Amino acid sequence: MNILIQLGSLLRTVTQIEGRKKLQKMVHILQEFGVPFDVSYGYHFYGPFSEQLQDSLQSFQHDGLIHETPYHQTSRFAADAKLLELLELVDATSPPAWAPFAIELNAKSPRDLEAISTLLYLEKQTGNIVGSDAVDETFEKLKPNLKELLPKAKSTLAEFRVTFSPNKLAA
Amino acid sequence: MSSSPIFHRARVFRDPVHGLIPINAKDEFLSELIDTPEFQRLHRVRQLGVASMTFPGADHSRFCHSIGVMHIASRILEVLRNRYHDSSIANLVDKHRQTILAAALLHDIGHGPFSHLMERAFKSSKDHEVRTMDMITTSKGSVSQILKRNGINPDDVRQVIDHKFPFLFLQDIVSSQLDADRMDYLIRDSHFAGVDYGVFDLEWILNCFCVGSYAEDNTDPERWRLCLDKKRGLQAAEQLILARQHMSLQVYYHKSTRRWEAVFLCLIREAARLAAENALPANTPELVVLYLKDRGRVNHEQFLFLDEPLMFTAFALWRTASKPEHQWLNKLASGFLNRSKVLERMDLQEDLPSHLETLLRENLNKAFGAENSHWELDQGEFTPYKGEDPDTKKGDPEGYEDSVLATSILLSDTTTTLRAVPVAEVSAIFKTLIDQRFRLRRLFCDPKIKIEVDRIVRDVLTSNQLVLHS
Repeated sequence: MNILIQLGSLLRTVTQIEGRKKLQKMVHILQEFGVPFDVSYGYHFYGPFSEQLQDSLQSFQHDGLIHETPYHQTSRFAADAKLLELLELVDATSPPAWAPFAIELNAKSPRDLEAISTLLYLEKQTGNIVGSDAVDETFEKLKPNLKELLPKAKSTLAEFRVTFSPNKLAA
Repeated sequence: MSSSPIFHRARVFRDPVHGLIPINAKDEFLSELIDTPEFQRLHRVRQLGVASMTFPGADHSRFCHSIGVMHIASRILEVLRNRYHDSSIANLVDKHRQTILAAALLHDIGHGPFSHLMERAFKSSKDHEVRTMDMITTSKGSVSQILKRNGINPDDVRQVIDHKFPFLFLQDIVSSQLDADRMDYLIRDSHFAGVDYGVFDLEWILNCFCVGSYAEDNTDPERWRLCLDKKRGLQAAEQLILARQHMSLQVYYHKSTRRWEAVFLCLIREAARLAAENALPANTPELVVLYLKDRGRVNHEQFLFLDEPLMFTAFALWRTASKPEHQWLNKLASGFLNRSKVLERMDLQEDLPSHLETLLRENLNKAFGAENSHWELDQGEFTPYKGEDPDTKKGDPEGYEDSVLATSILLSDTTTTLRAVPVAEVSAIFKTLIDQRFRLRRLFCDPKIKIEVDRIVRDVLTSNQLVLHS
C-alpha cells in the first residue's frame, strides 16, 4: 500500500495527530497489527522510530500535502486539501477497517503509546511474548522512565489484541 | 594462541583506497571471520549493483568495502582511545572494541545479489540488515561460533547493527551519518567510478572525532554520542555531506544506471511471475528458481551461494529460451547482458511531487497491474543530510530532541560537560541541506504499451485538479 495514501487515510480518520512522537508510535502499532504502511522501524532512545516515516513526512510537507502547526509544547499534523483530493481520486475515502483502532490510539498519551510500541518491538525482535519475564526485564532496562507504565501498557495491548486482531482489521 | 583449528598470523590487505590495512595478531578473530563462507561470499556481490553499465570501473565488491569499513572503525576507536586515555570513555572503548570491529566488518553480509537493487524487486528481501543480524547470531553458520570462541557475544554485535547497542557513541561508529560505512563507500565508489565527487578530508575527520552529550542528563554514558570537535570538525563534515550529495546526483542516481536498474527489475519480476507458474525455462539453476518462487526468502545454506555469478548464469540461459511464453524474459535478459535498448524512457518531470507520483502509480497499477514486468516508475528521492530544522525546536521540543538524538551530526567541545550542538544550529550549509530534497522520478516501459502509458501520464499531468493546486 502506498504510504501517502495510508497516511492520508490515517489523518482523514483522526483529523489530527499531536506531536511527532505520537504519529511515529501510532504508525508503528498499526503496522504491527497488520495495517500495511510498509515502513521499517529501528530502535532509538524514545523507542521504535522510523527514519523512513520521518523522511516521508518531510517530503509530503514539502509538497503541501500534510501540514504541521505548532500547538502548545508540541505540533499538530493534519492532511491538506490536496491530499484529501488525492484520496478521492484513488477511491480511498471510505473509512478503513482499522479506523476505530486509529481513533482509540489517538486518544492515548504519547508516553502510553511509546510503552506499547516498545513492547511490540521487543516481542518481535526477541521472539519472547509480551508478559514474559524476558520482555519485562528488557523493557525496564531500556525504559526506566516508563517502568510505572508497564503493567497498564501490557493490559492495554492485551485488550487491543482481542478487539483489533489483524483478522478483524483486514475485514 | 587461539583454539581455532586454523592458525592465522598477522595479516595485511593491500587496498586501493586506504593503502595497507593491517590485521594484527591480537585481532585474529577478524581474520577468522574474513575466512568464513559468509564473508567470502561478498567477493561475489558488487557494491553498486549495475552501476558499471554506466561507470565501467565500478565493479568493486562488498568484500573490499567491508574490509575498508572495519579499517576506518578501527582508526576511530584508536582516536577515541588516545584522546580519552585512562578515562571511563577509554575503558568503554577497550571493553567493546572487538564487538564494534566485528559489527563493522560484518555489517553487509546479508546483502543479496546486486545489493540494494534486489531489495527493490522483492519486499521480502528488503531488509538486508535483518538477514545480516540473523547470519551473525544463527547457530547454523560459522560466524557466531567464531565470535563466541573469541569471547565476543554475537547478540552484542547484532545489537550494534540493530541500532540497539546501549552505548550510542560506539554504535555511531558503525551506524550514523558520519559512520565508517559512509566514509568508506564515498571514497571507494568515487575511486572505482573514476570520478572525484566523493572526496573529503578523511584524515581530518578522523582526527576530529570525540565524544559529547546532547541529552539533558550528561552523566549517562549510554546517551553520549560520537561527535566532531566543535572548533575543528565542521568544515570537514560539510565537505563529506556535499560529497554524498554530489555522488548521489552524479553516480548513484545517474539516469543511465537507473535505466539499467529498471531493466533488471522488470527482468526479475518477469522471472518471478514465471517461477510462480512453474514456467521458467527448464535449465534455470534450481537455487534461482527457489529464490524467485519464495520472493527472496531462502535459508542460510542456500543464501551462501546466492550471488551475482549465479544470477548471471540464469540470465545467460534465459537469453536462449525459445518458447513463446519466454519471449519477454528472453528480450529483457538479452538487453541486460548485451546492453541493448529494451525499455522506452518516458518524458516526466524529474521533480514530480508525491501526490502526482502516487496518482500516476495508482493509474498504472490499474491499467497494467502492480509490480508489472512491463513498466517501472522509479521514485528516486534523497536528502543529502537527515537532520531537524532548528526552527521546529520551539514548537515541538520533545519531537525535536527525539529526531536530533536519532539522526543529527553533533559538535562537541570534546567533553560531555557542555551540551553538544546539532550542526544545523551553527552551519548555514547544513541548515539549507535539511530542506533540500532531490527527486529523480523516471518512467520506463515496454515499447508495446508506450501509447497507453503516454495517455495515462498525460491524464495525470494535465487533466486533473491536483495539477492546478501544485
